[in-house]
Amino acid sequence: MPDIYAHSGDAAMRMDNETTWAGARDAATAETINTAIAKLNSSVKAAVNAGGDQYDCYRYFAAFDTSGITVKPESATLKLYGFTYTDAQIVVIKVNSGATGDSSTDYVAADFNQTSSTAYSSEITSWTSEAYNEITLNDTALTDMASLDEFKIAVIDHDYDFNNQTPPNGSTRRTGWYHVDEAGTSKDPLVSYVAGSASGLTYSQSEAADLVGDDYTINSFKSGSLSNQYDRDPEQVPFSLGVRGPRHLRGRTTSYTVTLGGKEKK
Amino acid sequence: MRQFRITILWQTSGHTDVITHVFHPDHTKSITADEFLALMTTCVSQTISSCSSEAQNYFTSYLIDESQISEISDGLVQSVEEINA
Repeated sequence: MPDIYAHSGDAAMRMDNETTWAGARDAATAETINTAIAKLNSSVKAAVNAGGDQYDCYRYFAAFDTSGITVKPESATLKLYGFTYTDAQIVVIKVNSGATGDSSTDYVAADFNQTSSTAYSSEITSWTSEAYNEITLNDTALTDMASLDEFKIAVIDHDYDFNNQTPPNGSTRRTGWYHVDEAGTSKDPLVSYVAGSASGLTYSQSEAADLVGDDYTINSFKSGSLSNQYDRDPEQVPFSLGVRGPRHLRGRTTSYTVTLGGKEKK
Repeated sequence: MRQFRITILWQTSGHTDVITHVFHPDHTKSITADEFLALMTTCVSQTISSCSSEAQNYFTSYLIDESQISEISDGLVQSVEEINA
């Protein structure tokens, strides 16, 4: 199963202590961004103090080079190695193509609001610390992996951030994991996928092999084998059925033996 | 909009965090960009735990992860610089 590791410019972006939830969630630019962090116990966070006037909203951004994927994968999982907090209730979403961050460029603070409303997964409801958490990517994600060279994702809180509901006063949700800058790659974020197959092309090749013999005699010209035009009026087929061409092309009065380097008139 | 880049070396692991802190007019902030720069500049070449309590509070509230708070004696502030001013 091929793996694609996230670019080292993955980013933890955060808004802290905003007086409103909208101020934290809908900020045009993150207040703080760290593109070199090794791990966080709060990679994603949605929280507010008891007084309801200090809201926090943390998001995680990453990008994967999917230029080598041309056929939609059969399946794929995003793997994040958990660290400390395990509240979960998070979701993977699509990041707009206009975001600065990609598989060779670090994310920037202004990418904070480049999140889309397109989910790449279902809500993740459980989380494990110090082990890989495998998140199944949905059909939209699989399609984008094949069609986009840059597969950009964010992981955000599901109930409050994705659904845009104000967290109740005194609530805190945090989920953490290791980021690319952790030493080595054994805990790095990655996408693991099962390659898809170009099934349509394979089928057509098989069908053609049945209809055209090894000696290039065409055995059928029924609809689906040749065009409908010939099905309606077989006399228009420009060769004699069941015999080898090109000596028997319809209308030809002189036959030729084709040889390498020239032709000999019989 | 003013932005500042803070680098912190975690001496035990040898890992360096590169943090960009943004002052945007829409953000709720208790201090100004100038006050932030003055506050952080006093921490350069010191561990976070050696900074003033006000600076330490800013680090723990806005700049570092909760998991790093217990390690602030290990975190050496290497530089504070304004970018894209």
